[in-house]
Amino acid sequence: MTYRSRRPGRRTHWLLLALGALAAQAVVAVAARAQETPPNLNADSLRALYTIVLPPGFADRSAFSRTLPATNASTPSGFGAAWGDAFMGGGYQRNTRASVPGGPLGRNDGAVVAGFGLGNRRVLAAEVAFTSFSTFRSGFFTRTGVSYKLHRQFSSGWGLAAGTETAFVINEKGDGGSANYVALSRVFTRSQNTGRPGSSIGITVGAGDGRFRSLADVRANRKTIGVFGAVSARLTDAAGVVADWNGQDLTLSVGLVPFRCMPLSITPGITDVTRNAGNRPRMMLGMGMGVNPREFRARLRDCF
Amino acid sequence: MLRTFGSLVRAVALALLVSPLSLVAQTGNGSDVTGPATTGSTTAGGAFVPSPTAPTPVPIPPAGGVPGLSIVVPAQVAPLVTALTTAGPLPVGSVPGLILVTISPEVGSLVVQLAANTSPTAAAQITTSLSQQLSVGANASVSAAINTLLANMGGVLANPTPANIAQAVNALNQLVSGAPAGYLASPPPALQATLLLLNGLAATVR
Repeated sequence: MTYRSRRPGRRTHWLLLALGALAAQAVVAVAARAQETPPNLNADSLRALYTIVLPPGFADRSAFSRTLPATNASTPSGFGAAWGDAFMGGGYQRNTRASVPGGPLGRNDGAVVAGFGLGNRRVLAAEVAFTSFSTFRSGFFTRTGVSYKLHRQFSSGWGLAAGTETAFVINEKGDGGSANYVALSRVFTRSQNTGRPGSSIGITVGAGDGRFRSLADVRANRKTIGVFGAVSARLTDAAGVVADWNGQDLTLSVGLVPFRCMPLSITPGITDVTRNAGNRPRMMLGMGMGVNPREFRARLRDCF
Repeated sequence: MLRTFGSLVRAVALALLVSPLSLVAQTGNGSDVTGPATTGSTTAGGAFVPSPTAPTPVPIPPAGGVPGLSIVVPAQVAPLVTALTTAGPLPVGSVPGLILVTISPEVGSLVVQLAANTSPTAAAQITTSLSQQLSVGANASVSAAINTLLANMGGVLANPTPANIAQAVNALNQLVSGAPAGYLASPPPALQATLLLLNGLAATVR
């Protein structure tokens, strides 16, 4: 008896291949249609997709979001005032740094500032500030400095600035001298829900001479460049934290914006935290407002 | 950015040349400069820092016979407006689960120009687009809802107050609740563009 092979013949082989190809195509087609046709596409599902649900009281909310809490405390940022913007504010130190190394801290001290912006911040803008370093003891504006900053905001959210602090003195000289700097800043919006911790993160890096030099270089009158920077994080809609290094020491602050309708910023903090420059941490406070008058009027109308 | 940096550095260098105090050293305890920064807008907090609602100019290309122009929108919706009016990628995740139909730049531009109140003819063209898939004579109430929606959409981007946004959203929801399922299953691109834009605007207030 002749043994016949049990292996499939050539015709059967090709038939099996064709059936397999057809089956594979059918599987792919079904999968493709499954991707194109979303599940549960009934009338109610479609209406749910296309309906925008607004939270209660949405229509009564203010058109303006709360001003961002401070992103810097003792350092400049890469952002600034532009055409139509104005600002005013002040700073206070409970004790000034010791006059001699290891010596006692100085008395309390304060300064007030007001300024405005020129130009288009998306092309090139200039911020001009007038600072009275004298307040109650010597009288306001007996020591007045004029500072300026050129800055530009890029569409990606970066801000770049170069400026001079106390470029000019109008009357009596102070003890701070002037300082030239460049600063690069960015605020990252990680969440549109400004009530979430970390919804905005700010960074600033910069370099400059003058007060941004190390204290040793200042005392030796060495013409060097110092590095400064700041990191900030929004914790709630009305508060954030800031840590900035001004080239000499570290400042830790809390940024507060207590009112939605008024862009008032309050920034209490502790400076000379590491004692790298001063011999003791010192309490300080910054407070100010930055407004565009047209927006401010609309903001007040919207809120009252 | 490098050129701008160079310009800024040159500006600072020029300032050094003219500033009479560029070489005055910090003296004593430097009390004027060792506290809060009071030589600029730092004390104003984040007043001049970019925010989601900061006005942002966006160029709108011409569409459907309507000339192109530049409009100012809240910063948060600027990428969406740009995507709607160009061939850019649309934010699919902004309305989870929504299967996007192809929204041509022409349709996107018309919707944006209607919302920005910059084109009196945009409303008529969008009416045609929104009505084209409705059965003739069977949807008088839906046609009325379309007209209400377009009336409330006009200018919502130019003046995006919560009250205006809420009115436009309510009009859209009214249209959606009355539209036949087939209309929503295969929606006009203008409807999806309107939904995306209003959803984006509502998110700027949340």
